Amino acid sequence: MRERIAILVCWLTLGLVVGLSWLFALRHNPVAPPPAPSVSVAAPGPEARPPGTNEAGARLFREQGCTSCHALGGNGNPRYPLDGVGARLKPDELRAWITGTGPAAGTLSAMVVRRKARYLELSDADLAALVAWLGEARAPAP
Amino acid sequence: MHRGDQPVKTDAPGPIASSPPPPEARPSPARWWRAVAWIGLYLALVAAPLLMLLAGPLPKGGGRAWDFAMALGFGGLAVMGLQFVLTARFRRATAPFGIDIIYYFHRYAALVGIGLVVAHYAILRVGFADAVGPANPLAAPWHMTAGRVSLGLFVVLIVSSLGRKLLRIEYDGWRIGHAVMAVVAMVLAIVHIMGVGHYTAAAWRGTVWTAYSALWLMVAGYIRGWRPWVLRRHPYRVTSVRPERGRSWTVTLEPEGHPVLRFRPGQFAWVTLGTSPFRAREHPFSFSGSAADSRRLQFTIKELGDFTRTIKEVTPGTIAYVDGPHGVFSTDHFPSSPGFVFVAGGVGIAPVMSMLRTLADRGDRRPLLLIHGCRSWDDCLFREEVQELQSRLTLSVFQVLQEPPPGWSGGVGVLSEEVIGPRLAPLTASQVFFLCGPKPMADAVQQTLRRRGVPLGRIQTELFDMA
Ligand SMILES: Cc1cc2nc3c(=O)[nH]c(=O)nc-3n(C[C@H](O)[C@H](O)[C@H](O)COP(=O)(O)OP(=O)(O)OC[C@H]3O[C@@H](n4cnc5c(N)ncnc54)[C@H](O)[C@@H]3O)c2cc1C
Ligand code: HEC
Repeated sequence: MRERIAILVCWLTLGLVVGLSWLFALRHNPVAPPPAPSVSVAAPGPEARPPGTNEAGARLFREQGCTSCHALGGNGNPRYPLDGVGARLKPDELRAWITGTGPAAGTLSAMVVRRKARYLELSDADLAALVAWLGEARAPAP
Repeated sequence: MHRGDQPVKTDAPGPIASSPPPPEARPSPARWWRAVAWIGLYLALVAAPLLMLLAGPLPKGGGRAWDFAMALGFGGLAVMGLQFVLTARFRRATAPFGIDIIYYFHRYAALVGIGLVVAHYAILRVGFADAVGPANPLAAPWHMTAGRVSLGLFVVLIVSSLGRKLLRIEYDGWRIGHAVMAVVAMVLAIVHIMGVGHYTAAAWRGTVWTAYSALWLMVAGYIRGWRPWVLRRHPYRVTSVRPERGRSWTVTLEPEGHPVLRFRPGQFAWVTLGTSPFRAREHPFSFSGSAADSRRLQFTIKELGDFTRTIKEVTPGTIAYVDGPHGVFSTDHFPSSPGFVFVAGGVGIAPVMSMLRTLADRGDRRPLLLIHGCRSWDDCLFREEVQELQSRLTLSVFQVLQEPPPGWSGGVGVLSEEVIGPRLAPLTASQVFFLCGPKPMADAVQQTLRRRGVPLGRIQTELFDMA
């Protein structure tokens, strides 16, 4: 009998965690869920990529770990999507946000500022490529 | 942490207590409520991190699948963290259940925990591969590597535990590896969460989370540090090692400078012989002596493996430590039962002897039946003393031998339905049954009883194997 109770408590535990997690997901995202992101491959295919041809920018975006915090065209961390950012921000604003400097530094948490500080070490050419590439990201989220 | 509310006094983990257990066990409804309360506390601790996430303003959402996966990760880690608490042997918390079932639960809870953590990883890996980033530790951020290594360690931990016997992993080595891997995996998981930082960034959450994590690690410290330290301050000495039938030895211990620990007949303890409790070389053995004996403890140990083989070489004077009492396998929990039936296989007679001796010392005259399965008449552990006890108790005895001598009139074979069914039949309406022996035997007898309509609540089992 005690064995049965033990197994029951295991199921209760599982149900509790899954239930609360789902509740959390709903409370966190009250509107209809964004379309399930496509199963992404290591490199976003051309159709998944926002319009733009700047290969270096796309490559840097992945290699520099931007996708661990940002999504673009459905790839990456959906918490901070960058879709349409090119339509909203001017190049020098983009540069400030990427590196977490200037006015951006005031909004970002200390941890993110620390993470972004390393992008200050990117070469001017790389930074310019990223800015140019994001500048072309004008399409809304897929 | 555990001022005992049990009659068996349980303040420190230390094996000390002075008041003898009263003859009446506590009423069972109270035990039920206590059990329910502890289960409630367990579930509350599992839910705590998730409730903390739900409380207060939330950071920006990342889509339902994303946030669901995140929450599963927190839940999985809470389950894993509580694994330390489950095996910390907090006597007050385990008493309503019996610590054997806590270990049983520990094994299944591990599967729940790993299931949640794997789901956390799988959802992100499949749905958000770019966010998870590269697996190569040289390219991946350190906190992502920490998460991956932690997950891998948890898997190794579980496979090596559930498959220990199949993989032929030696017990003592496994035990050390298990403890080390568990702590490392847990620390890495916490590092992973702190590194990702999204949910713990808000100041108060960070503080609460740190405190919650510290709690788990403190429990680990309690198990490895505080408890052995308290044990060391309550040493025992071996006073005799007496050979018994069936390749078994009875070891007698006397306390050194403190009162002997008190137990309920049928309970067991983790015993360390001849080495420091810090080395975690303890083995579980049932008390076999009378609980009414306030001067010494007895354990009857059968030669079965690496450690038990060395019992016969133990000399009087050897230092010993006793972590107990544990377990709920005891006649004391059934003060109003009209009588008891004991079914023991081999050395499974040890806790039964404790109950018989105690009942005799207390002058209990309720009708008792002992069914004892042995290999041969020569191997029939305690058969002389059982015979003597018949003059002090209302005790009938039925011995079942696999290799009976010529002219044997008792039972023959194993403790199967055909052999013992007829003996049990007249008793199934009211008696409480105590089964102790190898798992196949206990399972077979339990099925026999279930088929005869005995409710599970009246079948008490003790398995001599926790893994
Ligand atoms: C609640 C309980 C009460 C017990 N009471 C008695 C008793 O009264 N008399 C008796 O002879 N035996 C008793 N045992 C069994 C006894 O603990 C094992 O036989 C002994 O630990 C085996 O150790 P070993 O190194 O000689 O054997 P090994 O050959 O090394 O181990 C055999 C198996 O025993 C188990 N085991 C080994 N070491 C430990 C350990 N430190 N802790 C837990 N399990 C271990 C493992 O499953 C292992 O695979 C009891 C066991 C339990 C769980
Ligand atoms: C540690 C996580 C993290 C990393 C890594 C990161 N960012 Fe950010 N970034 C943020 C956060 C948080 C914001 C603020 C988003 C918000 O508040 O909506 C932000 C803002 C931005 C913005 C402005 C978004 C807007 O909508 O105003 C841009 C552009 C940007 N980041 C580009 C980048 C690029 C390019 C990289 C890689 C070189 C990068 N980020 C790496 C966390 C990160």
